[in-house]
Amino acid sequence: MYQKLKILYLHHFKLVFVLNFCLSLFFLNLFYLKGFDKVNLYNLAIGFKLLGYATTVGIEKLFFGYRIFYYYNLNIGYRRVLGYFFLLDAFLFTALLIFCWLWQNFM
Amino acid sequence: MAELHVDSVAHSFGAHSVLNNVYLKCSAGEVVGVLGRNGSGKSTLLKIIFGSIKPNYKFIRIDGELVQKGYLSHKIAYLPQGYFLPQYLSLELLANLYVNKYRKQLLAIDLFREHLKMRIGDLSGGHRRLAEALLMIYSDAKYILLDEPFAQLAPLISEQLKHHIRELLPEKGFIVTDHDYQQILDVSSRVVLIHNGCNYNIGHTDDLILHGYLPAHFV
Repeated sequence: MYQKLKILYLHHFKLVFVLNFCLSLFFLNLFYLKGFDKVNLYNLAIGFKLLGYATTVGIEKLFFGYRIFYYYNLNIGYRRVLGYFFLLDAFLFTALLIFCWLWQNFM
Repeated sequence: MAELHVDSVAHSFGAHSVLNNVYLKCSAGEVVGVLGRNGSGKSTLLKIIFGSIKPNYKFIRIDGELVQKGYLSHKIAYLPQGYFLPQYLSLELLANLYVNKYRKQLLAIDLFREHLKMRIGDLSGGHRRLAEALLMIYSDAKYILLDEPFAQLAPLISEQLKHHIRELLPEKGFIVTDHDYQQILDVSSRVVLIHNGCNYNIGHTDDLILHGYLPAHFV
C-alpha cells in the first residue's frame, strides 16, 4: 500500500505539497527570526497549517468525481490518502522546526 | 463459502426507489450478466457492491466475510462506465499499480506490449477503454464488476475482451452489465434482469420479452 501511496503522491499531490511546504518554510523563517519561545507564533502556525490542510481538501474535492474509482480500485479511500499526506507534512514541519531550533541554539 | 453474496439491496434517489430487495450472487468461474433498461439501477447496484454508493440497506458477504465497503476488501475491482484513469499515466505505471499476480500475462497482451511507455490518454478511445478493462480484469481482485465494458468497442475488440474474461474465468467471478444484450448473453453463464427495482433470473431470450426488456418482434 505504501508503494501505491508513494506513486499517488508523486503524480497527483505535487502542487498541494509545494503549497503546504512553502507555508511550513514561511513559518520556519518566522520562528528563526522571532525566536522559538513565542506561544502565539505556535498558535498562528497551527492555525495556518490547518487552513492549508482545509485548502488541500478543497483542491482535492475538485478532482473527487474524476479520481474516485482510480483510488478506490487501488483499495484506498480518500481519508487514508489525505490522512497520510497531512501526517507526512506535519511530521516534516515538526522535524524542520526542531532542526532549526537545534541549529540556532547549538551551532 | 467462496462467493460474492449480495442480498436485500434497497436504494432510492429521493422519493424514487431504484432498487428494492435485490439479490445476487457470483462465484469464481461464473459470469453473471445484468440486464435492465436505462435507469433500472444496474450501475447503482454495481456501485453499491463496490462501496462507492451507500444504499438504504444492503447485505454483502465476500467469501464468507461481511463487508461494508467492497473496495476496502481488496477482493473487488470495478470498471465504471466512463474513463476513470488519469490520462497522463503510462500503461507501464498503471500495470504496476493495479496488477501483481497476473502482470506477466497482462504485459504479454499486444496492446500493453506495443504501447507500454505510452500514456493511456494517447490511446484511441476504444483502446483506452480496453486497456482500462484489462487492468481491472487482470487486477488482483477476485470479483470483477464491469459496467458497460462493450460500449465504445469495435466488434473485434469486444471479442478480445470476452476472450480475456474467459481466460481468467477459472479464478475469478465477473458481474457484467451492458445494453448490448447479445454480448451479455454470449459471455454470461447466468443472466439476471433488473426490472421495477427487483431482479429476475433469465433462462431464455423469451424471458426478456416477457419482462418487457425486448419488444416482442425481436426474436
